Amino acid sequence: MNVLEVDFSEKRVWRGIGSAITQGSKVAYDAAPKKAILGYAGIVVALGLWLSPLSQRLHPRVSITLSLGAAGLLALSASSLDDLQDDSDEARQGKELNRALRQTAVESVEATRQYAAITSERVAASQGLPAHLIEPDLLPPKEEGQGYVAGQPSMSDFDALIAEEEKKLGTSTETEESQPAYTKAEPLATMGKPVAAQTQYSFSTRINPRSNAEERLIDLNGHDTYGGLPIVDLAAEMASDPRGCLGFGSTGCGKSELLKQAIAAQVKVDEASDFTVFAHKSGNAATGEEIDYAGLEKSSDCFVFTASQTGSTLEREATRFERRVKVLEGLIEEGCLAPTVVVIDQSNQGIKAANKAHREAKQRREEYNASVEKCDQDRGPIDFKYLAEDYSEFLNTGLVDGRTKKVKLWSFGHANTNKSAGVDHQIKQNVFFIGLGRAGNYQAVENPMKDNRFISSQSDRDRLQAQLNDYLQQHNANGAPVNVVIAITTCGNEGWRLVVLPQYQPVEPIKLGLTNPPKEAPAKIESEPTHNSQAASLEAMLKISYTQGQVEAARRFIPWLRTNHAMHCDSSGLINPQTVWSYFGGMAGSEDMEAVLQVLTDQGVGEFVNVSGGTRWKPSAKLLPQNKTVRYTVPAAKQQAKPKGLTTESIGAVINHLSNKQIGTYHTPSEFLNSSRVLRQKFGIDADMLVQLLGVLEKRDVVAFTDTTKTQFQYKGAIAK
Amino acid sequence: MRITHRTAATFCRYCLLSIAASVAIQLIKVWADMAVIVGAVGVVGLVYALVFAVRYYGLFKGARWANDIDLHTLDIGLIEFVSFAAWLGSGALITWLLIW
Repeated sequence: MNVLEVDFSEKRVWRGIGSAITQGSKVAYDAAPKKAILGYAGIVVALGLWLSPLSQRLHPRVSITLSLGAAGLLALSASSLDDLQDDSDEARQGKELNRALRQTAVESVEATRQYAAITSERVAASQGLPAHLIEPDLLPPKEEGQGYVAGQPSMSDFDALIAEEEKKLGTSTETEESQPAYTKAEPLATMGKPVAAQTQYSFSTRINPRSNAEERLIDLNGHDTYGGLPIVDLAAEMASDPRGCLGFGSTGCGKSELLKQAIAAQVKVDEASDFTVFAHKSGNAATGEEIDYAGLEKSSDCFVFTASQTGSTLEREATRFERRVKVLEGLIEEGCLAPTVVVIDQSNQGIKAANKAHREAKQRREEYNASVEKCDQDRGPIDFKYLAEDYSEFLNTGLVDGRTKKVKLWSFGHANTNKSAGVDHQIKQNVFFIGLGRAGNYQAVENPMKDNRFISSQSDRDRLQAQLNDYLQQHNANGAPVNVVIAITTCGNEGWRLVVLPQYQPVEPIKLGLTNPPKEAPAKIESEPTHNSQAASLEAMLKISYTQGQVEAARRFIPWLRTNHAMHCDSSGLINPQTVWSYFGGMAGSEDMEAVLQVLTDQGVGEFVNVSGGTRWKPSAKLLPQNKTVRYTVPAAKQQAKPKGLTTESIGAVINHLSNKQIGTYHTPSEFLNSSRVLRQKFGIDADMLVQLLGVLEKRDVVAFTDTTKTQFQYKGAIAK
Repeated sequence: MRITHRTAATFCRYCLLSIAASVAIQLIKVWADMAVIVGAVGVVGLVYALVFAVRYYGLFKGARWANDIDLHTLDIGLIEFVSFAAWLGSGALITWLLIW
């Protein structure tokens, strides 16, 4: 269109120009960066608002107001420009990411194309070559039934060739009945064994002694499979596997028998194995049935700690149990030379027993606190506040960390839930698992198959379930004999499998000795002849010898204690090595005293006990005379004027009460009085009278005030002076 | 240095400092005592500048005592502190020149 030829007087022309301008404006508006324009315009306007009133010299109030307005506008502009920049940065990063992804895709496509081109060249080049010269990755995939190399005869072809050759030579394997036939499906365990006897079982019946019901039994000896499952010596595998074991099964499924066999197998693997048995179940005393752990039940390494125990038995066993758990934790921390096996029978009951011990201890402490209003904190029932938690943590730690430290735990229980087993689910990934089933109780076998936390693979679960169903079918067809135990296990390195346990022979009790001493340990450690070099070196390391000085001091201590036991034994008959050493004489410190007491302990004349205040030593009955209570009587020659208000009886009561305190302990007169209702109520002794009496005793070096205000005194003992 | 919208936003923020100083100067005309406050701030600023000058003079001369002089710079870098002071000062100066 020629501008010079346009007739601008026509309204149509102007309408056209107007619409063109409108459209152009719209396009320009759409394309314009509105946010940026607003932001920058805001800056310009704000600067104008600030500076122009100043240059115009307007009234200060007006200029200040406009300046503040300008400040607000600048802040808004700054914010919108920041947002604009953020959007721009984000868009740029998105573009760069897309560019990088496209580039990567192009590169991988190009690499694939080039690889395909090279491979086709290689395939083309190998067309005329014999099969054995073709590169392996260029060979076509082998078909079913074919040999490893395409075109080569398979094993069955090879057998046919051999048979043909032998026919030619006149020899044949068919007539020689002694040679076993090779079959592909035959498991390795049965190679070379006659096939004929395997499928024939012999049965018998018995009367159950408890239920008087007739039960069917089967003899699996000499067989390798039953019900389609292999018969596997799981006890031997447990002994060979260095991992910890989690075992579950209902009552009567054979857990204890398996543990017994595993203990015997472990001893065969390593005679120097050090066992600890935590038996959280007891035998039936009424029928004479006892717990049986291949002889370890007669060892001091067997700890019977059950939830059915009560009172002092529970406290004693809980104390022993707690001590051994701490020792084992130390072994797990530091490692050990000889393999240590911790056998735990019914771990869930053990945690219940620990909780029960804590509850009973708490109740005893409440009763103790109620009976003595302000008790001496050195004494009191032992508490087992954290025993259950410590035990649970020990199980967790031992099952996972024990393997590297030659400590393995075999923990068997009833349930297979995390909480009741007392172990974390993560632990289950690091140990092998055994679930036992027998005589209709197959819950422990079936539960892992239904839980993907145990068996993560669905195909494995289906396979095992199918095997179990087949087994049960055949087992029921055989009359469901009750003496067959099956197990689901990950022991070994074959993953999850179902096996039948063999019918074990009765196990000989293991020989107790240095590593697993019998319960009544002799005072002197006797070395046992052994051909095992490991056991001999371990024995040499454990042999304890005392110095001549310690033995002499132990000999001196006996008569000294018989003379001074009234002063140094507390009301429970316990001696505190921390305080007695300074009175005995010849001791450099409490460690020397403890060594002397250890000599006497080994001789069987006393033992160390743990109390809330520390370790004490209890002399045995043969060391000290029994049931003699020493009552202090003031010798007539040593009587002096009694403090006002005090009678001979009350003085005697005070001194008797004082003698119950530990030598070396500090008391205040009020605390001393508050600890004895008899002194306060029966004899009416108050603090002033007591202080006077203590002043008399101080002169005799029985007590010593710590300051001149006589607010605290120390009991020094030696009342008989 | 890349000039982006963020540069303009930073310029806006610094301008706020100048406007703040400008408002303080303008307030002198409304409230006479404001002069005392502005004067005091100015004196503090001068003292700061003097001590800074002495410190850096000593540093450039290698004097050991210069390291012991440490002034609080509002937990920002020295250059940023100087630019803060410059924007404040320029806002005050421009306003002063325009209204007086």
